Amino acid sequence: METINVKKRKTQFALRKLITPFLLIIVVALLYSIVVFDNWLITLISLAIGTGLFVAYAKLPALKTLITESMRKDRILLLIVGVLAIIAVPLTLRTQPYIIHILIIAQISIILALGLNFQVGSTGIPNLGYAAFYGVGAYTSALLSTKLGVSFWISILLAGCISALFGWLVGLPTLKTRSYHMALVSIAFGLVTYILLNNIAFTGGPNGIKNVPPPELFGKSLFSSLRIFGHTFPVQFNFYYFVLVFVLLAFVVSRFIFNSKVGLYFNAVREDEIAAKCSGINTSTMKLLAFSIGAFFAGIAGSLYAHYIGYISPENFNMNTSLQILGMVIMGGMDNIAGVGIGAFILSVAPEKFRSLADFRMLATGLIILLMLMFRPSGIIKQQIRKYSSKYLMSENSTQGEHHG
Amino acid sequence: MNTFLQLLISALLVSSLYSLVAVGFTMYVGVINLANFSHGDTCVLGTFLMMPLFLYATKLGWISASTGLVILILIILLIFLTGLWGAAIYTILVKPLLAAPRLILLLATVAAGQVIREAIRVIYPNGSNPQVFPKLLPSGSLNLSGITLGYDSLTIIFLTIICILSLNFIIQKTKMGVAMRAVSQNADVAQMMGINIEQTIISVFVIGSALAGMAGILNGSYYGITKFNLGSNLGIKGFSAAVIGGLGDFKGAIVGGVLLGFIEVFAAAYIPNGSQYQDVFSFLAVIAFLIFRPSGILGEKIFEKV
Amino acid sequence: MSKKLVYALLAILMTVGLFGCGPAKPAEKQTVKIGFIGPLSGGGAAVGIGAKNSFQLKVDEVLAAGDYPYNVVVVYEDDASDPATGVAAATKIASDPDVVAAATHWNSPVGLATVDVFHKYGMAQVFWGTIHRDIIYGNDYKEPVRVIPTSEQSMELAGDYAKQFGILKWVIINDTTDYGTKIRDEFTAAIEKRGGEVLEAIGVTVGQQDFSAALSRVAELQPEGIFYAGVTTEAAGVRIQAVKMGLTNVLFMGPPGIQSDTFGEITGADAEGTFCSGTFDVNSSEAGKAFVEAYNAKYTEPFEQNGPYAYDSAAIILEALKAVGPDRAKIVDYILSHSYQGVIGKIEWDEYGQNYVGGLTMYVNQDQKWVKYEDSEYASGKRTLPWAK
Repeated sequence: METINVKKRKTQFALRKLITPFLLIIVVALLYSIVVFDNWLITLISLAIGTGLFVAYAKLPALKTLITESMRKDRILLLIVGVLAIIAVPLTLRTQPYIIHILIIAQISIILALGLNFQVGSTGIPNLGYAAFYGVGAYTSALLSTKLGVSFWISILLAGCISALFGWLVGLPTLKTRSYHMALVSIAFGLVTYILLNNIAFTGGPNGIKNVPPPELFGKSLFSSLRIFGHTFPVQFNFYYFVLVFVLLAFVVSRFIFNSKVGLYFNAVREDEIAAKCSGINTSTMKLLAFSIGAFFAGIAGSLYAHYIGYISPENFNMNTSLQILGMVIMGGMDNIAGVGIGAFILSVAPEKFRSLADFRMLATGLIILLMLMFRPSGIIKQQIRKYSSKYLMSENSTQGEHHG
Repeated sequence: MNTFLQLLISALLVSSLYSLVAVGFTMYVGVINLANFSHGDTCVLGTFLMMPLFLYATKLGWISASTGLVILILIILLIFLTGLWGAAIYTILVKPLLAAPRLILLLATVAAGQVIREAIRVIYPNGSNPQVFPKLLPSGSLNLSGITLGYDSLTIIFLTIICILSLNFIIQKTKMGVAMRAVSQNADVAQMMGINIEQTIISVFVIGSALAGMAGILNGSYYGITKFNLGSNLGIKGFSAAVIGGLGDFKGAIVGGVLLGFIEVFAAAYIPNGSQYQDVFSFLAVIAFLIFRPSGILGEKIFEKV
Repeated sequence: MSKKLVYALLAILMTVGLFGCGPAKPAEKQTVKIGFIGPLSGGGAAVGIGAKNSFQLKVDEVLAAGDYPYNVVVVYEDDASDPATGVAAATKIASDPDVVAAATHWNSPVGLATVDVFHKYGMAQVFWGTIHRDIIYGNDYKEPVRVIPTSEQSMELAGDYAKQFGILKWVIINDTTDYGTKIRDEFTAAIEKRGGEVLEAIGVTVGQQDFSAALSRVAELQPEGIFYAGVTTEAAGVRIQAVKMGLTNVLFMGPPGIQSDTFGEITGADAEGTFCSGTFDVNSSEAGKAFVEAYNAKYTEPFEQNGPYAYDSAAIILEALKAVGPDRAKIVDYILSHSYQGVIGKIEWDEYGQNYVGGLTMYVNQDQKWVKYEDSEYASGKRTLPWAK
């Protein structure tokens, strides 16, 4: 009896060990086929398989625990492979700068979605004019570097700050009003920004700003192609790693805020503003903070976009862009950082893969948001429940939480 | 002076359309505390339902025979259809999400608006481009000492007043109106008094959407065109009007609509270079209201229920 | 741990390897790809599809002749009139080593955004649309050339007719897009050059419906002519409301942007006697007529205003490819250093790569259709224009 059990356990253990690598293979293969192949059928099949697996994962509790358990055990492995894959992908795409371009746009979208998540996800304030903050950042940075010759590093910082300032200003009317008022204010802000960008000669009017210089790193322009071991790498290659640094920073900062007291206060405002007030949380400050941080992220993303593409016009920052980013947050999972990242990735890569179906792009976005809200309002990955170990509950000044992914 | 009077008529016309849209918004907020952001797109849906109907009627030869009567029947049919649409929106979209946080419901209506817009664009032949909308209103104009009064503008203003008066009658005098008022004051108590809440909410959606459909076809036949995305602007303006007037208050929506129409037309005319900033003025007005008088002109002071 | 890592890496390598290699095709004639980008979805789709069909028509005609040395495949990409989508499409085409040249874009902001991309990859970019000056003159690139004449020439034509009609006091209503503002500036210059006067330019926004504020200002200024600088939808709105306000004794004119039959459909009887300083009239030449015939035999969608330019763009690219072979740099040089006989006339570049021929035409609206002014009943005296002096 005993020995059989042990044997059984041993085989089970061995099987368990295989689960993570197996999952990794599937995920990497799916992602690779979705992103790299220029064939919408392959993309569609891969997406369908991915969705099927996800549904199985969500619906079968046994599978779910098995996977989460083994993934938690093999965290380090996951991290290493993930990082390696992210770093290695462009190396395999040396001859396909277009794919790297898509990935760069996806990276910028991730920063945007993470920013919007502070408002819509964490604090529960609707923002339907988020693209305006993105635009403010892009224009600030582009104007500073083309008209005053300010260096990229100062421009991007100022772009973030000025965008944050606008965020603070737009947040002001929310203090006294309700959520639908805020929806209106944000739409109005988005439209007014769009109209002003179009009408003011200083910002180039409808023609926008061109010849925005690329960032410089160690005295070298990012637009000069790298040559390594006799291979020339496209300029997108440089930008991929450049923007990657910002994406990682955005993740780290988002996570830090989520885990901090401020993140908790954001949630408190979302769940019940009056109760939050009664608990001594300054809800006004929290709302304004959510707006400023979110706008800061948008400003940084805008600056990156402007310096990457080299040309911006008001068309980049209209209502459709706002809805697109909102879709990323809702699809990924409101107030879930990893989920928002995944949502942003999918919704920015998919339209490029289904180019021939471009006419349906906005319809699909709308339907995704709608269906998600109706049938799975928590998004792809559910909001994490904050767990605090007793140790943390005892000490007063630390709210650092333990999270399970 | 002539210019002023001419502008006055334009302002009244724009006001009429905004008021019709605003009434729906304010009623939804009244009964279930929801800003329905797909409301503007209902207007446009109305125009895109009207065009095939009109084409069909023309094909059958009805239009040339007794035009006025046929058009009246078509308009009534359309109001009925958009009313039905309102009931559908409530049953399919709003009702299942009533228990969810309001943010979810609000975002869902935004998404629904987007879906309606894009569905029209994709389904209707050549839907991305503006469509020629049939002229349903009487043409010709009255010339009063230099002021041109189009019969179509007069008809629109007249029809709007009729709509508002009959709605006022419904709300003030009928049993359904009493139920609506009761639900918007306090739904729980209303239910205890034996009012069928569900039915009341549906009737609000039907009336609101029917008025939106009306606004849509009036808008379409006055300007001669309709386009899939006109609804977002019309909706935002209608909602702005409802906010300015005071959300939840039927009369407020009309006051707000009139005020917004006048601000828009007169600011654009009398502020130098104003025409290209027409929308900016109206949005600035809304933001100013939200900061200094969030309850609107007629609304009571907003306080959060604990 | 390390074992797992090896597994995982193996897996990645395997998938990369599996998907990395595809079957090679046997080749008879060498296959060469050329690119086409335009708005194939969204509001500009009608123009984009008309241009796409015209482009394909030329390619088919050349290939069907049989003696073309290459097998040509056209790669179509959509820019959706959106700069960001356009840059992605341009990157996709320009970074594909098999594509040798491309014909691109209808919208100026898209063109401004992609001109750098094509330059970076050294690929010839033939514009069949877009009017913004800086696309060609704002850089010292060799890659972009533009078949469609600039709007400046179109506005010069408008100025000539205005002078001929003796209408010299104008008010401009312009939309605030790049198109509207550019047309506004060029029309102002053209009128002032001829001793006329633009009393005021009033901006409106695209999507605006009520123009009473702008038109009441026009009524106060009492001009002889209203020039609408923008596109069809708003132009029709302005025209209808101008008539409603009694501004009937004023010449109404617009740029090529309103040269669509939709204008007449929306405005109905109010369109009568309005003018459009439009693009090339294909029916004015034998080659043009042949193009129309061939096009209509094959496609049901209209070729719109830009079809002939897209057709000629294909001709230019194919001729260069035939002459120098599939070499991007050589094609760029060849295109810029030669002239072509196309349906729009003899195409010659100035030193920046801008073409100056292409038959601009003045149209008048007669029974809700745009008719060449010289052929109309207004020119023959059968009908009279209400403002005529």
